[in-house]
Amino acid sequence: MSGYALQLQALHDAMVHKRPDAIVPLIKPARHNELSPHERLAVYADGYDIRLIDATLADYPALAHYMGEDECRAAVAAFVGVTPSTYWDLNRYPVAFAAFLKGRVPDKAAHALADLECAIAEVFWLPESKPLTPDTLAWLSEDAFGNQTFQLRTAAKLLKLEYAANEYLTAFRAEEHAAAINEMPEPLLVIRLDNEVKREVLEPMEHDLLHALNSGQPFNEALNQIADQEALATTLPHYIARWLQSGFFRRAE
Amino acid sequence: MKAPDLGFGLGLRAPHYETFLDERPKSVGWLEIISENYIHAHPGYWKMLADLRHDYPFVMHGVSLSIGSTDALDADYLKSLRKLADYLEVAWISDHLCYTGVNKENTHDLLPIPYTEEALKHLIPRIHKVQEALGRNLVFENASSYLEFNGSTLSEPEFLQALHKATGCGILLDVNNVYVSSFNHGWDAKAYIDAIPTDAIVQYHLAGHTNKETHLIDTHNAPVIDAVWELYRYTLRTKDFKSTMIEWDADIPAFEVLEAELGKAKAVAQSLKEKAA
Repeated sequence: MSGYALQLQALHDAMVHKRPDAIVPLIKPARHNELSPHERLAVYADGYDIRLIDATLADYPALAHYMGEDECRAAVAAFVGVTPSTYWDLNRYPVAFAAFLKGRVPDKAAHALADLECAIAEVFWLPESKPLTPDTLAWLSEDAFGNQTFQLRTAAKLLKLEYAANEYLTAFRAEEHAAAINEMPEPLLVIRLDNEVKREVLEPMEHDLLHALNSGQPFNEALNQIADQEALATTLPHYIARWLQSGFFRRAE
Repeated sequence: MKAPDLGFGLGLRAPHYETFLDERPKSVGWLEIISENYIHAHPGYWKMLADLRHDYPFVMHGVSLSIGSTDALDADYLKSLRKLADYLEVAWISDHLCYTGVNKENTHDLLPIPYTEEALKHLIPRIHKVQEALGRNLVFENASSYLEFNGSTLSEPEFLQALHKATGCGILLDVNNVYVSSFNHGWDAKAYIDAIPTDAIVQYHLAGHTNKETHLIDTHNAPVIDAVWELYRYTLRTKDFKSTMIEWDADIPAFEVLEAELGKAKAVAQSLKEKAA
């Protein structure tokens, strides 16, 4: 490794991995102020932690409210301590926190809320895709429709939360008293429509069908996954109308 | 590189979107955007920028190029940067003389590099590659710094000058950063300005900082202090009048406060022009 590379590595390691030994002897003493090398380094090292912690907390405001600011900040700090950023876009960094939290706190309601806020942040930044509109499908025969595959828009995440995190988030955002997060299944589609991230509440059967479709199964095969075919026959036309009118699916490019 | 003098501009920040969209203030001559805030943003943002672009020249200012890094250049990042620059027909693209990390880890900070011949040999071909990928010359800003490498054999302005000479890149002279780094390292701020080649300067930045007594931190969260206005006056007196903008990125005040800061910059330039006449 060249001398140049070693110097860069030394400063980087001091900031990200808290290993200052290599960089301290490389820091030039200043002529006119007495700031020590360690104090100079601290400007960068402390700034690194604060930047990543603040960026992560910014994406989980309801979780911080639910867990308590101090506990949430401690969890985020622990996450930052073991998770170097590996991409230039800082907006992507907080996404991995939701998975980290599962190994740190046992509270499953907190996990659900973290998953939801994570999905919202992720969907905000995911690439755009054009919606599949009803007129695009008008030419399809019944057989062709049955063999058709449907993919959710690129800026969309399907969630099957075990706790009512969405209900909590709604109350939090409305600055209403957000009570405890109850154990209750909450199937959701977090999707960006018309440049706005929306949380579409789904029926359990609707979620399962969207999940099957989004995993690549043709329409008829996806229908066969549903246990209650009688109920499906009643609700399917409503689902299809909603999905297409809202623009849940993306048009094949 | 040749760049137009766009006059006096501001950084486009979210709290002022409405003001710009609804009122299109003529007191602001041009807008600088942080490239990374929009590269991956949804089409609504791109449409907003295109709308504002009808009334304002745009400049893109980045924080993620990491020109000094020993990691490979990020081709996807450069492609995205060019796409946005072409879409907005920006006057120029700037970033910082720094690195942001190594070994594929990113500190999201603007870290100083040692100023040596070895560093020049590393940076010059990288700048050529980036300029080729972007289809235009780049502009590099002097980042504020809190430590220097004792192995440096060149001063920061000497290093910038060498890069300009070898690659044709421009210099974004951040007057506040000159002040901050000079305080932190014991440099002579006016000597720093003197050493910057006039023909390389494309743009000036002005900003506020935080005084920690033992050192200054470039926080962009306060008005420009008198000593920095004085250094800006010195810069305009000894260099050329160039596009100038105010950066304010934290604790962002009402638009009128920024407009008043910009008014101070205009007044400095105006008084010098009147004296010269």
